[in-house]
Amino acid sequence: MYEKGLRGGALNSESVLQRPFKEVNDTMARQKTKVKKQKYKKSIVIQSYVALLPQIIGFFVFSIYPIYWILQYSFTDYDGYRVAHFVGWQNYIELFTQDRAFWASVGNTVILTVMKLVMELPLAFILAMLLCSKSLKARRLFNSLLFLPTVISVTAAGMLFSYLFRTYNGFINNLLMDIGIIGSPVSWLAEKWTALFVIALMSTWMTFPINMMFFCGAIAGVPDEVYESAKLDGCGSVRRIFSITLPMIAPTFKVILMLALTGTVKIINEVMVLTNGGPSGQTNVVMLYLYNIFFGYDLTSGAGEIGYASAGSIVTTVLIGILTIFYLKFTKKADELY
Amino acid sequence: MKKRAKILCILLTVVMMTGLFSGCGDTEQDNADPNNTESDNAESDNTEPGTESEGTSDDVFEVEFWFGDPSKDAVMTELIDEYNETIGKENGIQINCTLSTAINDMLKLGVENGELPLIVHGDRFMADIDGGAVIPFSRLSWGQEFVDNWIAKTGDYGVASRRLGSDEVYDLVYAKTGPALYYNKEMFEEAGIVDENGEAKPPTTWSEFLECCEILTNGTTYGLALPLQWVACGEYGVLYSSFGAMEEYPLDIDWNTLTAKFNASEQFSIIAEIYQKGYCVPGAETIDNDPARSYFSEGVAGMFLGYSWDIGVYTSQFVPDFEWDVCWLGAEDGTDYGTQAGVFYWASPTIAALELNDEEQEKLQSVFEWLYGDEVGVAMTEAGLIFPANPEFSEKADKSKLSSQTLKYMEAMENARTDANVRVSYVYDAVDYENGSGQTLINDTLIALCRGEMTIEDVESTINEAFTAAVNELVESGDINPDDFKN
Amino acid sequence: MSRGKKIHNLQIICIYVVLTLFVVCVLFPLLYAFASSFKTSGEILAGKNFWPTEWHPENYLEAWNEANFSQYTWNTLIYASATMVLSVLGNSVCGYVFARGEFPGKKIIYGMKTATMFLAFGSTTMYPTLQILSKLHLNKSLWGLILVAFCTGSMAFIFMVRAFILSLPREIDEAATIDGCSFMGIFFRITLPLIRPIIATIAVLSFKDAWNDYLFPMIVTFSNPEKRTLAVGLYSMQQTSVAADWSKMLPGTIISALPLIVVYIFLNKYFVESLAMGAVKG
Repeated sequence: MYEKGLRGGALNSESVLQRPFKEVNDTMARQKTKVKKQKYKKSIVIQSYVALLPQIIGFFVFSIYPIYWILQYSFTDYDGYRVAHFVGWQNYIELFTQDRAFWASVGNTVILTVMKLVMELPLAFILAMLLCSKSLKARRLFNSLLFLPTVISVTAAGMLFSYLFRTYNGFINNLLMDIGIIGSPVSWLAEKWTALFVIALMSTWMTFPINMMFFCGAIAGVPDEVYESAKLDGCGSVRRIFSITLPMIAPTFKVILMLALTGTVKIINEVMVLTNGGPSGQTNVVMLYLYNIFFGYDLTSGAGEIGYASAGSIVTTVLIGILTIFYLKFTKKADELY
Repeated sequence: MKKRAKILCILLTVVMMTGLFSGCGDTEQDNADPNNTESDNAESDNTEPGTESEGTSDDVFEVEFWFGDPSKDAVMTELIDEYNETIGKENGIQINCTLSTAINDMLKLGVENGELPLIVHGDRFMADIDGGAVIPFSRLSWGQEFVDNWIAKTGDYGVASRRLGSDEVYDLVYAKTGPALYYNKEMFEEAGIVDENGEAKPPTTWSEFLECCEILTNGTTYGLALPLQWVACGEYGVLYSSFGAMEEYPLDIDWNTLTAKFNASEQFSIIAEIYQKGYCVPGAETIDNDPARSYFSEGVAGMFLGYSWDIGVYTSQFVPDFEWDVCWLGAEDGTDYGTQAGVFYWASPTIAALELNDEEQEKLQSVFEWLYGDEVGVAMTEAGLIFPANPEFSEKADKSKLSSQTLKYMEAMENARTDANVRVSYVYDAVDYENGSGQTLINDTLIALCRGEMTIEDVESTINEAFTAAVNELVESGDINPDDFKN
Repeated sequence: MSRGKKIHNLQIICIYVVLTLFVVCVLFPLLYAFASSFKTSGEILAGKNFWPTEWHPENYLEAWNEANFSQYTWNTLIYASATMVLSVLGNSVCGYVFARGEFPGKKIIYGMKTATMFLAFGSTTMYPTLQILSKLHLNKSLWGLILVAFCTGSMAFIFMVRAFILSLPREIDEAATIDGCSFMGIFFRITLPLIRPIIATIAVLSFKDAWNDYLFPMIVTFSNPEKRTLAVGLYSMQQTSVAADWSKMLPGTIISALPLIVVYIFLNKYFVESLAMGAVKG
């Protein structure tokens, strides 16, 4: 309809040159606004808003308000009991200058993220290549079996892994000692690095199937013609992976990596269940450290330091935001390569 | 397909509705009078629901009591049921007991909601007092006399409350607890650690203890089960060091030399040596209290460094199939400096008690008298659940059903003093430590010492400085009077 | 040609072997825990064998009775079902409105919701959320959590629904409108049956997430042991100094994981294939 109006207006302006432009413009403008107004049917608008109402209310109440609450209380010394007093930037200053444990936990988060991603993404990719590229008969079966870890809750998985990695008479220790790799039992969950390794391993165990499927979908999206033409050019299968598959799934890989990154820096359940911060806080991650300050150490001791923890949350979010922005900028550059 | 979907939807709605109604009802009830919710304790195996608030007539005075000690749940529930049936019925009183291990959390919520019980079980942290939930006895008309009577019976242990000021008694010492070393008699005999009669000879000093650990550690078994993950494990060196192993009676606490008073250096060093030389079950930092207990009861480790309440655990829960006994470590030269024990508190009134009228105050008083009275005390003693602070309980109790280990320990506890211990543990919450309270600090420094991350001097200075700072803070804020730490 | 085929077959066998080994490794923790759950406590502590020397199924009974697992299972069932139904409802309606609805402010609201997905507050907003729930007197019951799940919705699910609906042809909708069907009427009568696979996926995934969710339910039910879910119950079993012996904890773990594994075996295509089609393409 809009096109008709345009043609009509054009014809008009062509045929009768003396017509003042204003009139032509008015007609066109009126037709334009007519079209725009018809866009919003009142009944649809009402129904949409009613349908969205719980979501909108929930959004403001449960998403926006907590953020505002944390922002507000981060400038106070609220402890859950007494009245909050405004203290300005004191919490932030203390966080940056005095709290070594917070920054240690940030470091732990970084280490854990790196460990986990290094373990998980290549693994998921290789498995996806093995599983999805060829038409294996038993593919469905393997798929289902490999997906099993995702349906197990974190607490159950924590039990499984702390049972496996027990120091005294744990399966892993016995196995390693029998093979001869280690002489005496390793305290997996008592040393910082080995504990972080076990946490990363358990986290990988629980989430690699999902990433594997993402890769599967991405790999399936690479058209066969590309592979065929590469074969014609004499490309070996290993080279094929690096030169063709990886670059072609790069956009999806970017998304996968970002999801994995932002997911891992917020990790809290796995750490809580396996070490709860480890031997005197050595395996604390950021979210767990803040959680412990918010809620006290075992939910039975006294007041937490809410104000201080809120400041910590804000700082953490800002850090994660910076990470995301850096990541996006960096991958934009990488995009330009391809 | 549509029909099936419809049926499925209806079914789900029904499920949800039933869940909704049962859930809703309980949430409302939770804020009002909770009935006997089930505790998490395996020992209190599905007791009868107890006092249901059936047909509460208007003139029955309901007393809400929050009790948080899982090991005593079963007996407590029985006693309260009996009370409600007999004395309670006569006087128109009904005790509604809630058993929970999250008393602090519930109190916090209670202060916010304005729904508090009248009586709450002791052993809580200062936050409850700061948060305004618990009040001192003296604020009730009958309170001061009650406190005086109790202290007269139990003797002056120096501290009878969480506040060391003069009038503010928030809680009363009810039972004592202390350190105990458990040992596997059979393992000792096999290893040749015996006396003239061929009976197992337990260690009596800390250096003997180290030797025993060494001897018992062969390829298959270990000398000691050490639960370093359990936050109270490290207390051995500072508080529950041993019966009488301290240099001198540490009532005069100069906090800068806290560890020296309790001989902590020697004891910590010995524990660190045991850890480093592998005389304890490996992975000690990941072993919690219960797994350590089962290492002992399954014969993996020959000894277990624990507390008096472990006697109950080993007689009912982790029952070993070998002969075992309890002992304790003393001073090197054999001098007995007297025993030092920790305490259990019992019951305190909350701020809700201030709103009662005179008649109700009388009834509340009678409930308190009953709670601290002979009936409850004797029952608890006979069940082996407490080592009573009030000597009348142990006199009147029928001890025939108690195990030999319990009796042995009870005798030792009769003269045990609690003041030094209580003073130190009082300061725990004021200690500024990022991973927890003062208790956690002591344990963490012990772990660091074991792993070689700290020297013993570091440990001493860390603990002493932290506790000194905490005490200074308390004195400054007026919470305690420094004179109370002197004899 | 036959040599090429042989190599090809060899490749396939290699792949099979590797995959099988891998599956064994992945499933191993479960198998080991399952086998050990039938051992006695002493054997777990000190024995080195994989399979139990004697089978003790009574471990399961003990865990069931002493640790209150029947109550936990019932609670979890209700919580997961309710979350599932409300989540499906909320998310599908939301996705539909964003896909087909034309109303002022749509882009703003959609943009805001997407933005908060990137604001990584994680678990730190739990405390204020709890405060809000306590003002509503819902802070001690799981219904508060269900309310939060319903009201916030999950952007991933909304995304999936929206993308799927956008791929559906509009003609049917237009035909229905001409026949006098209202906007929401179209949703219930026409769109909903068409997006059944997505609905099934959302249902299954939200059920699983609610079943396994443990941090928030733990905070909410901490002082209320009756209302705990399985995951929380298992964790508290580990924490309280009561049932901390492996011969009760391992059966407890298996009990808590088993129902969902069973559901998974029957409905596994919804778990797996949803991801292949859903978020990646968006």
